[in-house]
Amino acid sequence: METSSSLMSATLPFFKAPSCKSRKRQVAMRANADEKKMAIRKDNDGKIIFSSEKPPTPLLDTINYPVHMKNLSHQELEQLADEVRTEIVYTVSKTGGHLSSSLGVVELSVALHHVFNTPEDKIIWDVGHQAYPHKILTGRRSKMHTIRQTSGLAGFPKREESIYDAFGVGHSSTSISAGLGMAVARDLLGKKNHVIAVIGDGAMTAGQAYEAMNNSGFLNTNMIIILNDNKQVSLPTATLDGPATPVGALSKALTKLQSSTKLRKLREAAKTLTKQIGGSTHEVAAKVDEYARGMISASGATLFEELGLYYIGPVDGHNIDDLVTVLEKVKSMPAPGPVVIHVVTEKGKGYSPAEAAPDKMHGVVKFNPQTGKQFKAKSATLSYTQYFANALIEEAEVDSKIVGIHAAMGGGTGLNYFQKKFPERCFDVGIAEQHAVTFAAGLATEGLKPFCAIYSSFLQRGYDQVVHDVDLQKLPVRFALDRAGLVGADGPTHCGAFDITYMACLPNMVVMAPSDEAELMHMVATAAAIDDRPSCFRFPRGNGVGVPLPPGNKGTPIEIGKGRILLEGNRVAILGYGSIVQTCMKAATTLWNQGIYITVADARFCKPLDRSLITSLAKEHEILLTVEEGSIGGFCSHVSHFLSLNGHLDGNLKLRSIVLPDRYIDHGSPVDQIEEAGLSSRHIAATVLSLLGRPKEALQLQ
Amino acid sequence: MTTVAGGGIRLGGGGSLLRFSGDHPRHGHRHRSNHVSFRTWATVAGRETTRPSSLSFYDLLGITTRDGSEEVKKAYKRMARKYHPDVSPPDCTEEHTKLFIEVQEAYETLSDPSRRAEYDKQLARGFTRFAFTGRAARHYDPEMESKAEWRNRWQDQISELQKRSAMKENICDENLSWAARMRLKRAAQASID
Repeated sequence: METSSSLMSATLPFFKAPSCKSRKRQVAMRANADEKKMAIRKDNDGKIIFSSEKPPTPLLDTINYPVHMKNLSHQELEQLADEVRTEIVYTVSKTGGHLSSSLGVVELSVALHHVFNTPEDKIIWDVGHQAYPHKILTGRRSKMHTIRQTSGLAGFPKREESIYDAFGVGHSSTSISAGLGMAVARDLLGKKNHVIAVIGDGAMTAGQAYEAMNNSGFLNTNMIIILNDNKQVSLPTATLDGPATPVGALSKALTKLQSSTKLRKLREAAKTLTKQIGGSTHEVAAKVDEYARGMISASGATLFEELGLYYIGPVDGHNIDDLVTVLEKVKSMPAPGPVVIHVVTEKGKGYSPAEAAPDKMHGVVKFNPQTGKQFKAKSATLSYTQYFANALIEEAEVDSKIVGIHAAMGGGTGLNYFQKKFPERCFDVGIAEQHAVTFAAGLATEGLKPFCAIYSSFLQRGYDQVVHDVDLQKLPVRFALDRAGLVGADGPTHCGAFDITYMACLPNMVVMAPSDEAELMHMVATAAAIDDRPSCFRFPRGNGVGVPLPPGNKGTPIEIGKGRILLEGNRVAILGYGSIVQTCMKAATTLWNQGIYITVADARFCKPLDRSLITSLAKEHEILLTVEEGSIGGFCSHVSHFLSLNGHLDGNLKLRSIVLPDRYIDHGSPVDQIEEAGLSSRHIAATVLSLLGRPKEALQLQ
Repeated sequence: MTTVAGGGIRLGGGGSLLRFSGDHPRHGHRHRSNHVSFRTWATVAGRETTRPSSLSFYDLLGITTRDGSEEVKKAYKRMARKYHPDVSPPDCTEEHTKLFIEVQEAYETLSDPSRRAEYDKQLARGFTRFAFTGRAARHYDPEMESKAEWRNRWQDQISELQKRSAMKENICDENLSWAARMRLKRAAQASID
């Protein structure tokens, strides 16, 4: 506070530095509104100038909670929006995180909190990475520098974190459903609060949004749905070569709503006509409006209205006057039923590097606020995602039947590279995992070889389709499950803990996991070769370990159901599944230094298990550890089930499994999360030592 | 051009007759209609112009609203030659220059069919001038137009919704939605309490 006030007094000698947070000071500050306006520096076009220093935020400094925003004038709200914008750019530049979604909804957040009375009124942000302005305005500004870090703020709204976060959101398209639930509960309990669900045009491509709208139109509860339309359906809504049109027919319909020149001309003509013949212009215009809306502005508005939702818009999402007017009017109505307010925003608005970037700077690491240049760490190896994309491209070069499918995640799954090479063979279905899976099944029935690249946690949404449409019919759909295991800063909403469990229990599914990037490439080839049943392979977030790659990035299919032994030892064997094998190797090194030589094996396949490998490990060792970065019910359970059925647990074998604990691991750095989960090399080595009867040494491990 | 010369405009010296207001129409300026989407306009001699007879663009150029683009062009050339600073008598240079600029603006507006249409509408409502400052004057701004159109549209939508919302839900209606039934129950309860 001291630095900012001295900065202000340096530039404005007659501006008194605020001494304490009180109402009186707000009045004095309002009197100096013009001087205050100069606190944020803008260039000649009115654009904010961003710098690397902490921006001056005199008005935002007086706002701790939304209640402090109630008495602000519209001009002050605009200033507040500017200050929130600079605050977000400054904070995210230091911590990394999601940038442009938040910038796009600054005015909307300010308007919502000004008009409504949270936390009694509920605001549900659909996919929470846009909620940074919301968090800043609801008492968490001082902690924003901890966002997405261990023990810090979550990157998404979280009910346990604050009473202002009405619902936990991380996957998209759930806000209307949750909002409807809250509205119905309010009606049953006789309460009077408002419920506002903010959903984006990308999230609208998911079926659940329609399910919710359909139900809300039927129930007719009072509810406000804000459709935040910024023409961004996929992440990024760009190919490698530049911006792309959003996928889906809905986007076209929404665009038509924004620019119905025909309607405008018709209305104007109607108005002129009425002036000449007399009569109330307003009524005629309204009638023309109603009639023509169905005729001319077409599908979009009437879609909502057919579902029973009253449509208002489009409204300029960066004009606080408009937003506040619309919201206040709708708020004051007695019984409007469900209302859709179509708000048009621009992702990354107000920060030119974000506006210009093809991916709009959606997710960033630390960057320079002045230029927008990100400080990406140089790494010797690429990410697993990149290796996957390279391998798939090589497979597709020789086999023209291979096609790629993803659900609005071209950047995150690496399929944007595939799309660049094979534009006709890559399908982005929008945020629609259920459809993606069945669509892939349909492709497979005709003999194509579909690779469905969907994050482990997002595939949860399409699970029934995996079971019923793919596995039951034994269709050869290949699932590439990225972000398996713990994912770091995104937290439990994005954590891929359950895929081994839910895939390996399916009778026909081949389930495998590579321990390094070369294995990943071989598994891509293996999956391409499996043509009589479905298959899947999982790989984590992060970079490869640095093993030599197969020549030309072309893998060779592995024999199905065959694992491998990496290290031969005695007495103790560790059987790892997936990238955790690297951690097991590290544990082996630690133990080697203590004179203990263990066997380390890479199972590679969870289904079908390498029975001979497991049997020999069980027969030749006293202690068998199975390790996976997944929940209970996965690889370790399958192994123990196999061993018990074959009588190997009836003898002297000590079997232990190390899996993710039975609780959600909070967001944080990957290292911290692994520690928290008990899956570090130290934990594994300590387990071995305890089992060997050397507990003191176990405790002394660093 | 008879109406302008002499009594109509008195420019220069103390107190310009044309004052440009920078306020947005909504903040308290008196005006006839609510649907003006322009940011500034002029008041002449502190009074609003409500009659088209004084100083409209057509008056400036000496033409009528029915004159076509050919006439507009001819009139502009005529007026420009008359008020051009280089050819005006030395004691009238300042006034003529100002007039020249206005004639220029009149021509720009009236020669562009869409701008002329807008101006005609304004004229019909009683404003003879709209003076732009800044970038909006330079060329037709479709973005500003569509934003203004959006505002008109949602204002209408809101009033429609207000009407709908105020309509009483009839308890005898068989197809009452769940929420309507709840609302009526609450209302009945409230009136009992």
